[in-house]
Amino acid sequence: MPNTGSDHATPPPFLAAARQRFVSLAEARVLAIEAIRQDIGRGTALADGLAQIAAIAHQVAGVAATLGYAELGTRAGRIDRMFKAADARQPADAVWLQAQPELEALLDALEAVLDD
Amino acid sequence: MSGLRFLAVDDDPVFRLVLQGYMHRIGYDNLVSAATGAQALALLSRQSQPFDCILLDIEMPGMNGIELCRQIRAVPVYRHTPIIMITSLAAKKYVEQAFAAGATDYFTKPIDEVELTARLGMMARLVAEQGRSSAFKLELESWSDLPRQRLDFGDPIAVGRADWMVEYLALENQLLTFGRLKLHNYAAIAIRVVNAAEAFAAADHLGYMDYMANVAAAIADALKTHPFVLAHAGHGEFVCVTDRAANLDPEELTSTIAASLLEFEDMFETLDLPLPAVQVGLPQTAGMFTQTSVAGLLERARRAVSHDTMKGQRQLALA
Repeated sequence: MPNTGSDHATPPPFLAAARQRFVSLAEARVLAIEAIRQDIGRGTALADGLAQIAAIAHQVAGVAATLGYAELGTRAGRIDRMFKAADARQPADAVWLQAQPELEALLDALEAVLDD
Repeated sequence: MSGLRFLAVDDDPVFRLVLQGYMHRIGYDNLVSAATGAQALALLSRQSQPFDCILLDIEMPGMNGIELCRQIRAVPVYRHTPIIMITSLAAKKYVEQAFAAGATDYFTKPIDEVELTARLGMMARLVAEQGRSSAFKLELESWSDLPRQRLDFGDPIAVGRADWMVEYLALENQLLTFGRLKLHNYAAIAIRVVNAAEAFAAADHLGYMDYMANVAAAIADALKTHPFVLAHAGHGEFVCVTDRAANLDPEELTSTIAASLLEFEDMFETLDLPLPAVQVGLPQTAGMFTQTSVAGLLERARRAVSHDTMKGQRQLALA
């Protein structure tokens, strides 16, 4: 299991509120991704699901590193890029299959945030 | 602390907190945030005093940052307000569309404090320059006596208001988003008003801006068959970026602009200003297989016209 916890114990004071808010949103984000994953498993529109997960990953990637979760930010950024490339470079179902280990790692990293 | 008024639009509440924190630390305290494009437009319509600078996330649900940028630009008071786009690495490909929609600059998430400080500092300078430009315009409109604002000959201050006229900084930023292949498709051409210094000395500052705006209009008229953008670079020079395939002939372009300006000879004479003498430099392009910096390309274009002007003057002296 990779180290998915925080990189710095204490963020700069002005970021404390942001970090607290980020942690409070982590659970909802995990649940949202899991729900989309289940929907995709049940056969609902894959492209929509990828876009929704990419949107969550985009938000996580935009702040995670700043708040001390560099690895989480990297993983989220990777998912964001993979899912956004789905239309242009390869079919959505191939991207979805290929992304499963990375998505699992992202969920682990997000869950680890909840321990902070 | 800066008194600049900022509007930031991002759908992520955590990012809004982070941005606010960093901006406070850098010295920008006057920040209003919105979570959606609709909220932002409502805020803009309610403000009695316009915002000085706007930051827009590109990726937002509903109205994205590019569409929002377009709608903001359609509001007359925000036509020239600096708009900085915020993007992730995954969405960097949309930056070009954002520039086409009227963005001035961009930075990427996650925030790098050094980059944010630099970008906001540039925007603050741009706002100050635009403020001086507006003050000149106001004075011109009110027919007041001598202008109170100070303008240096080298200031790349915006002259004229038209879709094809952009700030020099915005032109540089837009080209910076082009990859090597794309940059290769464009040519930078400098157009120098050889006697601009004479006009600058003879006119008050408002008169000089008006003088250069007339030259810009003549250049635009000569370029109208090609897509182009034009920026005033200061020191009596303009830089135009156009399609490389347009293959413009500097001599022909010089003649066309000169002919257009000649129609206003009487006006310049009445104003006691020299008829603008323009010199168009050789188009400069970026190499396909060599690394060309944007600043280097624009600088090369400006050097080319200076060189041509000096050569012309030497030929004139010899004759």
